Amino acid sequence: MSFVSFSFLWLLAGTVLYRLTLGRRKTETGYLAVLLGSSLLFYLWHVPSYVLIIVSSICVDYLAGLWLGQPNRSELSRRLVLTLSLVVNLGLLFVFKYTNFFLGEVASLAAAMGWELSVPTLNWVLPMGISFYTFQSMSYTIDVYRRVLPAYENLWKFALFVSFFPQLMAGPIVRAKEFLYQIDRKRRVHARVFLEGLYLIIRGYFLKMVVADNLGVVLEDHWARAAEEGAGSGLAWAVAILFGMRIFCDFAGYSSVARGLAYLFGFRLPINFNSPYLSATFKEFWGRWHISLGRWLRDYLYISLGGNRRGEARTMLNLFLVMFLGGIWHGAAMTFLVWGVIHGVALGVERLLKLHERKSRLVAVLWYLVTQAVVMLAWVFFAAADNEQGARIVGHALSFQGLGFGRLPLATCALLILPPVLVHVRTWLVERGRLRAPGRIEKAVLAAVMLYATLTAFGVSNAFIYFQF
Amino acid sequence: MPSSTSSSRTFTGAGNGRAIAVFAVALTALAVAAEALARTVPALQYAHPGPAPEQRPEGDWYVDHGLGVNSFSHRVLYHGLGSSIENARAAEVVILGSSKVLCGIPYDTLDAFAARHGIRCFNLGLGFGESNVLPEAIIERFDLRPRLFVANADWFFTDSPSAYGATVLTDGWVEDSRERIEAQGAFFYRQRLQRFLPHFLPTIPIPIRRWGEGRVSAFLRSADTGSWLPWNAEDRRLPIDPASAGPHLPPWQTPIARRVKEQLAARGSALVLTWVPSPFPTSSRASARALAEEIGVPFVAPELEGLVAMDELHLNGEAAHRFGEALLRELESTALFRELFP
Repeated sequence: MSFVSFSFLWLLAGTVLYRLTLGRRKTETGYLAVLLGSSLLFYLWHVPSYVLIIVSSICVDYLAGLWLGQPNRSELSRRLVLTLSLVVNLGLLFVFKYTNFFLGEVASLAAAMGWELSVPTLNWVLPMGISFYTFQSMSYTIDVYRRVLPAYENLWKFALFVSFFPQLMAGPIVRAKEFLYQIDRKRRVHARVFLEGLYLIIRGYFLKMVVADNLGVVLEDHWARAAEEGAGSGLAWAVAILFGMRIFCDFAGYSSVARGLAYLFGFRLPINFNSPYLSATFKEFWGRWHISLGRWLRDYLYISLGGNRRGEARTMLNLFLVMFLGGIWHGAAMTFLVWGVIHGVALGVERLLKLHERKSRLVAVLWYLVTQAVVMLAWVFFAAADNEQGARIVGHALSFQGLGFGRLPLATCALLILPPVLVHVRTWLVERGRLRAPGRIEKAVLAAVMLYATLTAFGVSNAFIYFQF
Repeated sequence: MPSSTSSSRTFTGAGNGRAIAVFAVALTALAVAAEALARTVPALQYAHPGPAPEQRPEGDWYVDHGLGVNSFSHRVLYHGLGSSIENARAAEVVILGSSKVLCGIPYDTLDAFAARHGIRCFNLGLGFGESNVLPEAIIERFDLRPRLFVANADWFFTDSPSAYGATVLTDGWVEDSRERIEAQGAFFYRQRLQRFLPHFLPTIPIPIRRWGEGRVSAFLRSADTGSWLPWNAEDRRLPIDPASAGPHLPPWQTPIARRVKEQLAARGSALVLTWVPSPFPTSSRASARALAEEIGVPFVAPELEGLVAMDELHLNGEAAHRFGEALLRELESTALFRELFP
């Protein structure tokens, strides 16, 4: 089920109604059952049989958690159980997400070596949000294995943690220790929290349906032109920046709706975006962009690989590996791999030159510009049909020849990127103490404007970009 | 960040009440101001999908084609949304075919014909070049039993639905429920709310081919008679050469047409075939006539000079009025019609 659907409005209305009447303390068994039922319905609405995948993941990690949480287990058996849990989760991810990619690459390799290899193509739909909930579920077993979290004994509540529908499809990737304790905590309906939730939902829909979807229409028409021979540098930079704005509004919009929904239901989800295009360094970018993924990769991959404790060379290798795998996590395509490699190399170079540390104002400004330019150009590979197309657009951008924008509707583009730009400007001013965070009245006016814009200026709706991951 | 502590406070807090009031006032003010703008500023004339409410003909209309909407009537008719199917069931004459027949018989021409004979008519034509399969499913599903079906023979009897039609037909129960809920929501939004909520996006001059180089057109469909109302449709005035014959309908369509005729007869309905002209005909009038003769049904398709089309397939408004009027006059002069509607 998509947030941008009438089915979802019905599901939301029913669940909120239950919360406001029979679930006012939030811990009522009936209310938690309704939340779990809504979450499973939300999932099976996409492809009914795929509910078995998420149920498998829930059962395996629940049982693994119970085993790992017992005090008298040997270290070897604990390792085996953890490995089994990871194999099941990563196996599901591999089978459904990477099989075709893997088989295709094997065939290409064989062809390059002169062998003709006929490989089958598996014609199935990618289960929505599989990358998110498998990572979320794995974080639980790893935390229990590391003994930073006790095993959770209630299967149904654990199932709610994994399948909680506000963040099921595209995050934020919530840690078990951030969520499980909330299930048993009473949280009465609080008007201010409820209104904050509604504000976040309206804000998210506005960013998605008005800005991201309309930018999508513009990009659909001009993306390929930016890759054509003779296309100017101006157009290439423009489509890169427009896509950067689009994916921010798409993904931050989803996260905003998710957080708002959680507030309505009495839960709190972590912030996933914090004006990422203000980032002065690549390190800072990964603290502002998809924050929950950045934290997951840091805590469960980077640190497991040794982090920065094994010398400078190993640290850079670790950074590279983490971003390489982060790229692959996004999708089974070489374009995502290149995107991850660019970020991995950039983080390594930044660390080598110590540009992530304090520096002079001039160097800071210059590195900010370099950081944002690389981030935008890396998006080109993220969005490109293939690496060849991505390389052509980036080549045009870096040629600095032909600074015109072709037939790009500049006024429309300026209008569409105004909201995300204002979001960033506001954050910048607030972080420097020059402006206060918006109060209730300001939010009420903003919500009215954004709701009206959503109802009257929505674009041709597309699924959220991150649903495919 | 909002407070996370438990509290017995409810929605009556003064600050919250003020915020809700400000929100309501701001939203209302915006809606009123924007609607006033949409009605007075010429550049915003396309802000409403279709004609403004006061410019629409009498009756119940919904947006069938427009920005982000493509042949919504597939869902409306197959899922029985709104009053369309009830009106189709009440009709004594039901027209079948593709978008050619929807454009070829204007709503006022069909209304006048129905009024002349004191009968009810319904145009069950479907876009995307839909063939016999989906209409047959709709007829079966909702037990349509008019006295007369008029079918445009132009590649109609193919037993091969459009890709969209096939999706509508093959959905499982979950997909079917999902699409029904989406269609119901969209139906309400497009039929009711969009009468009062403008859609400003089309007024932004984005030169995108898919939107007709900035032209915002819409096709409204009547829930009462199934007729189309093209609004702001591009009119290329392509001439139609009566001498341009078009390819023959292949012989494999004959048994399909015969089977459809027999199935309709089993429901107590007669069948008449027609043929709607276009600049680049996809079949010849002669072969349509031959098909009618082979399956033993009347054929009505007036031959008119000087018809023009809005695009490669569809008659423009003026030609449609001439053709539609002539077609229905010819239909009422047939022995079968006089027998059915004495």
